[in-house]
Amino acid sequence: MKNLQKRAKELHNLIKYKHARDRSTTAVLSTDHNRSIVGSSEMRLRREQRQALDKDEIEATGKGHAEETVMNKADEWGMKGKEIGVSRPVCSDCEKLIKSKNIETKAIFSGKKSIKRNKNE
Amino acid sequence: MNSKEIEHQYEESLKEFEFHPLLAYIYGLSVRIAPIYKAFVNTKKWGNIGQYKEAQELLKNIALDKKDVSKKEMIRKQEALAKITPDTEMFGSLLGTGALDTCVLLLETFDAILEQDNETLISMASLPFNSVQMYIEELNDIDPNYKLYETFIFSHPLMVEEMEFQDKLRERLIKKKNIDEQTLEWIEQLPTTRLGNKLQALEAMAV
Repeated sequence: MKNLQKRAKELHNLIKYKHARDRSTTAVLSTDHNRSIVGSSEMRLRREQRQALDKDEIEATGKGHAEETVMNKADEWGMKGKEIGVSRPVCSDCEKLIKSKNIETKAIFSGKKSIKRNKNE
Repeated sequence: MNSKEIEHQYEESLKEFEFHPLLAYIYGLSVRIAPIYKAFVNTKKWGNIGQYKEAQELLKNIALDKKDVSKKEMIRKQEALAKITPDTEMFGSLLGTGALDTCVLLLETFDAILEQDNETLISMASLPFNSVQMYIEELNDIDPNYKLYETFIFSHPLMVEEMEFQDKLRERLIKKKNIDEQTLEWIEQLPTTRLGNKLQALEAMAV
């Protein structure tokens, strides 16, 4: 079984530019369909990340925090999330969402609301 | 050629550049993509166009080899730019990514100048392709699993414009040893990207 926390960081660190890495998040969600969903806080994964996806990993696109994107896609695709790995500490909103869905994680919880959440988004 | 090879080709071609012409090349990229940041600030009411321009001006002065540019000033401008650089958790749209990349271009360049890291400077050639590629994917709802993905992306008029722009820059700068005001004025006259307006329109459609 994959270490999802490690995998999220591995995929995140593939982002070519440091200052872009510092300002984005990557999340990997394993599901009951033997496939993992990978998403970013950006609309799409960057090309260098996408090229590194394994055969059992699917890209999720869409707006929102990376954790929300992968969990929303799992719902949309009729999959049940099992465990989530996240490349940076999880905000309290995403923590609540993860817990409400009984998804396991070894990610760090920041315990704070994200000040980076835009009301317009 | 696939996208990775095309980007590699653009980066490779910069290896022949002298230091100051290479910075002028990056300044040219920055001028070209700056309208994306402007569109972002106007739409999201976040960021600071004046501070962004100050950072650009600093790069211009370094490219001109002006002796009065201090390391301290570079760090100060870089810190100011970092504060007005969007985080994608806050602005996760394509416009946010585009604006992030316009700032990343300058932030990485200043890092590379301070650390004398030529590889990073050279890698800037492929950065402007990222937002264009994402936009084309989004607009046409395609992903890399699409059979004709590479052909589709790299024959798209917006991507062709990006490549032609860099070809023009390279042609003018590759033989240069030093950079003068006249060359930078020529760079500033070149067409800027149309992507800022397009991303802004896409954002308006999503609301």
